[in-house]
Amino acid sequence: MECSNFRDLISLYIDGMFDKQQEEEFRAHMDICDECRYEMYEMMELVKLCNSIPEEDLPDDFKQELRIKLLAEKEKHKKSKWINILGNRSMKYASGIAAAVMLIFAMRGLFIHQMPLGNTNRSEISVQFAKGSATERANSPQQESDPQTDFHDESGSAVSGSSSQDSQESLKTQTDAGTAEPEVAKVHGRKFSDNVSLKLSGAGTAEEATDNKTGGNQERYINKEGTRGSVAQEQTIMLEFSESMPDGAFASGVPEDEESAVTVRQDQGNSGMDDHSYKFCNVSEITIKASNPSTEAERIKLYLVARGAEILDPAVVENEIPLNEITGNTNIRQNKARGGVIIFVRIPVSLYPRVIAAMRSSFSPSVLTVSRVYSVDVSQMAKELENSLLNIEVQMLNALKANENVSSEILNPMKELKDKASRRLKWIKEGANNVFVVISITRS
Amino acid sequence: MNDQEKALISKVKRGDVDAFEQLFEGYYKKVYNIALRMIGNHDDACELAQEVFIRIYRSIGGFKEESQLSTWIYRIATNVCLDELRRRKNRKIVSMDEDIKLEDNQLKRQLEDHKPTPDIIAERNETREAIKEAILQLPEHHRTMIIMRDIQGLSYDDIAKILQTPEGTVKSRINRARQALKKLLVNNKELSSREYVK
Repeated sequence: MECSNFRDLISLYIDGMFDKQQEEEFRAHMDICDECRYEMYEMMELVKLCNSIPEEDLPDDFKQELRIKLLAEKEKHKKSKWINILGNRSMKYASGIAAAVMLIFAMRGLFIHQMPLGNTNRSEISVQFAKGSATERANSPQQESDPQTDFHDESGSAVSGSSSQDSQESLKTQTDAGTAEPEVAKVHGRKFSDNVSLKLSGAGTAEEATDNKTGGNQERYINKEGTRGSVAQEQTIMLEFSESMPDGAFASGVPEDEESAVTVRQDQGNSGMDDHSYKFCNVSEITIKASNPSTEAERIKLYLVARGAEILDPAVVENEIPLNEITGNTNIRQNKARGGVIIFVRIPVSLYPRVIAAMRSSFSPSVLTVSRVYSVDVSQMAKELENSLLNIEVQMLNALKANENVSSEILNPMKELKDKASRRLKWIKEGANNVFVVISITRS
Repeated sequence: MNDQEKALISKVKRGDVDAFEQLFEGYYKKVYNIALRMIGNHDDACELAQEVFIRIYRSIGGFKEESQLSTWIYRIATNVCLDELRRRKNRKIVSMDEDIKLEDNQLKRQLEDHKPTPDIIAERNETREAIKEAILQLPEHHRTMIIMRDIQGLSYDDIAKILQTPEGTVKSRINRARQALKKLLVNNKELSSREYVK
């Protein structure tokens, strides 16, 4: 064997790719040629060194970031899919969809008319009832659960539910604050099965009404999130949207059959909690340093609106979006306390990567940090809100059954609670298609 | 491929992100490490690895169930990384003057970083760092071979399937890649000790 031939074969020898005869020839040369032997040992050492390079762990936010990008991709694909469907087979699908929509309206109408309506007062309520969640109610599993009580806390949802004590206090506050019939406010903490039989004059007491499990339940959401989102604070993340593949690339691989069209349709519509897209709320927390936070906040708002983001009213966030329960985050309040400004923004998942990339190119990494990006499992929260909503509706009906001329003083607080619960539910359900971005602008 | 995987794949083909995570999460770390060795820094590796999975999500419709999932993933990972490296190379040509300056600085910095120390553990780490550094200096096709064979530990057969090349070609390429890596290490070491003497 020649030296050059030997050197060509070193790797095969090291990797054990020889048959017996080849190996004998190889070894024979190694015995007589010092230089080649040395060469081989060096190569072996090199391979060993390469083998010893340890595998490195994924960055903390890798999975969450990827999830958001995948959801964005799904959104994009969904849109192009709709264009395809409407373009290519418009009549076939459009007629189907139209039929489905009409059926839903027809059923709603039926539902409304079958309600035992006595007077105008009642009819107003039942219509509202039907509007609120006729379809959801029909699908909603009538199971026992511990309804969340926090939405009757008028003093500010940001703190409610952080402990059972909080929730008790807020309940008392509301009760004292003067509903004419305190019993009305108490019922939400009770189990669904109790509520069904509970009359307005029923035996609810303040103690019973305070759901001791509230605090525990809130913890549960956060813990669930914890498994996905045990994330490092203040870690700078780069999110840049890649445009390297054409939009249609995905669509080409997916069969254009009836089944996939149905899936898309379900995703678009209100298919209820069974649909996986309602399981998550996406949240991103960003910190920006500025010498003058309030001026900077106005500038950033304009900047974001121009890029398709929706600026949320802080009052709405405080009272209607259970964002604090979702994030489990106290940083938001702390940053505010330190003289910073907080902006709440909602960005469609499909736009998020581009908006962040744009922000990153506009701000230096020392100024802008994306502290956390995560998805939170809110299916349980949504389910419980749905149950609570159902409870209130049942209470309202029972109140009317017991007394046809039930006073608006009793009904109005119930309606308020119901509206608040529906609004919260709506925010949660929209959470999967959007990213809630909490931007803290702190003084540099 | 088992039935569960098949069921997940058909869900992913319909766009299900949860099913995607279930199916591919086990590969996240591997792909990230391939990207890291190909590109050399964590931020870019993170971006690239995510890009790999986005591309997988987009193109899963084209995946044939008789082929092996891991082979397909590695193929996409390699392609995405090579595309990026090529893209960077093209970008470099545009601003050549700047890059030469930059490379000088980088070289100095690297040499400073690699001054030998008496501590054996540090030395071992240093050797490892030197290897990582040298891998990044290899031409892409050699780098791919070293990463697949010596870092990821894939078999010749797997590599041939991933790169869709005959096994014979893989055999000779692996050997040439190792020889090139060895040469680079020796050169770097010589440079570094010369700098140290100064």
